[in-house]
Amino acid sequence: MRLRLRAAAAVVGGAVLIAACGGSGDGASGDTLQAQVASFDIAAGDRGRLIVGVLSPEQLFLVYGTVQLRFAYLGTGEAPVDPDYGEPVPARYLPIPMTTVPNPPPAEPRLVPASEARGVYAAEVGFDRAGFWEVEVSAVVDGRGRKGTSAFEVLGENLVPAPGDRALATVNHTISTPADVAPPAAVDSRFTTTGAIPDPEIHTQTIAGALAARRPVVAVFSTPVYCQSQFCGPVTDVVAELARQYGDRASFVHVEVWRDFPAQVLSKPAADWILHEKGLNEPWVFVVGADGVITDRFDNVATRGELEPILSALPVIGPAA
Amino acid sequence: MLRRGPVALAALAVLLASCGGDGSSVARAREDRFRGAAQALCTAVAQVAASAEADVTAARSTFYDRSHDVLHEVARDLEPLDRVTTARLLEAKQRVEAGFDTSPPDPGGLGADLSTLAAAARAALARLAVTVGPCA
Repeated sequence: MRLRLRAAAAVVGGAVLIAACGGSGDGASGDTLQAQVASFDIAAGDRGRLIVGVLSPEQLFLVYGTVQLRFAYLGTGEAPVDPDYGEPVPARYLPIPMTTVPNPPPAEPRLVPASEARGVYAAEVGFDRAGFWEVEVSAVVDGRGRKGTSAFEVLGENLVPAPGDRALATVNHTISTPADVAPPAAVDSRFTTTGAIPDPEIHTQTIAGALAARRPVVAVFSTPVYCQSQFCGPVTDVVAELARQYGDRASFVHVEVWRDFPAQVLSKPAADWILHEKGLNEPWVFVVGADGVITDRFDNVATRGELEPILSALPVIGPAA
Repeated sequence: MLRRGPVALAALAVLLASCGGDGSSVARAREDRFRGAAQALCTAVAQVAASAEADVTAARSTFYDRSHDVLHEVARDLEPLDRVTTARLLEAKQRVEAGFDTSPPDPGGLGADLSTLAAAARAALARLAVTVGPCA
């Protein structure tokens, strides 16, 4: 238990190495998986989506099918407790956006190289107290049971706007922003690599403007170029695709995280929404109702399969003015 | 330095090789990963040089399986030290990713972008005191 709690503390301290090496499997290295909680801003209270990435020691991604998750409370730094796993919870596979999934997808989990597929596993879970927790991932791979664990922190309350909160009426830069006000790369960092701001569908409106017009909003906070997760670019792309399809039901806004990455200057809307006392995580996707209240949020991974049902349920209101 | 928060899945993939080792072996494993990722870029350059679609597919596999995630780790390690070189690395990486996503692929453009990325990776690794020779 003490080793596990050190692992949890190391996660908080940023030393993910220990946590990543904490997979306990069944003893034999061949049964071990490496798990990493990929969710940001987990707080005690209501149920929400928890996502976990799973790899083999050979750095193959576990994809497809379903895995089982069990959770155990590890306590706090001041008051560690013996872990006691709860009942298993099934977690479904979520492919990273823009990756190809076979049709039909394989029914069972497989270990594959990153070029073939990559994704995470998601479950709706709630945590009844703040502190350090551990997730055990169990999967049957090629007929053999394999396990891995990961420690993570559950906060007392969310640090980033969450469902039920009012959306912040921030004014992001758009393709209409004069270059002497903000460089084009501050609208979308891909300007640095292509010389153009892509996807005008998500770069013409502001969150404040959409809220004032009482339109639902899908806001993606990401930095497609300077992201340090492999999820950023694809998440922005899937929101742009949905914007082309559902632009008559909601306003779609991409907020580039960095005004100036080399100078470490955040965009103000990004700082307002997703910068908190523990730092900054991205990407994020927020869905806001016409009443200005956040209805959904997705951290790190947001798939068409998750967003589209929300959008298709919205009434057609026409394109933004 | 602005802390990015929890390490992403890509970092997990590249930390695995370090598990269980002492400090010096962890450092050696990290350097080996970094050099391997840089060398993989050279392999990818050679694979697209034939200008055949099958080679672009092989180059894509090489890039994503052997280099992409490690480059994220390099960027994370370098960012506190040198954001400008980190920016150049990430920009070069994004160009390669965009190139592989383009249909039909442009082997010539991909080759140039992979070469640029290989050079950016060498520069980034040099800032981390990891020496890698140029592509042959």
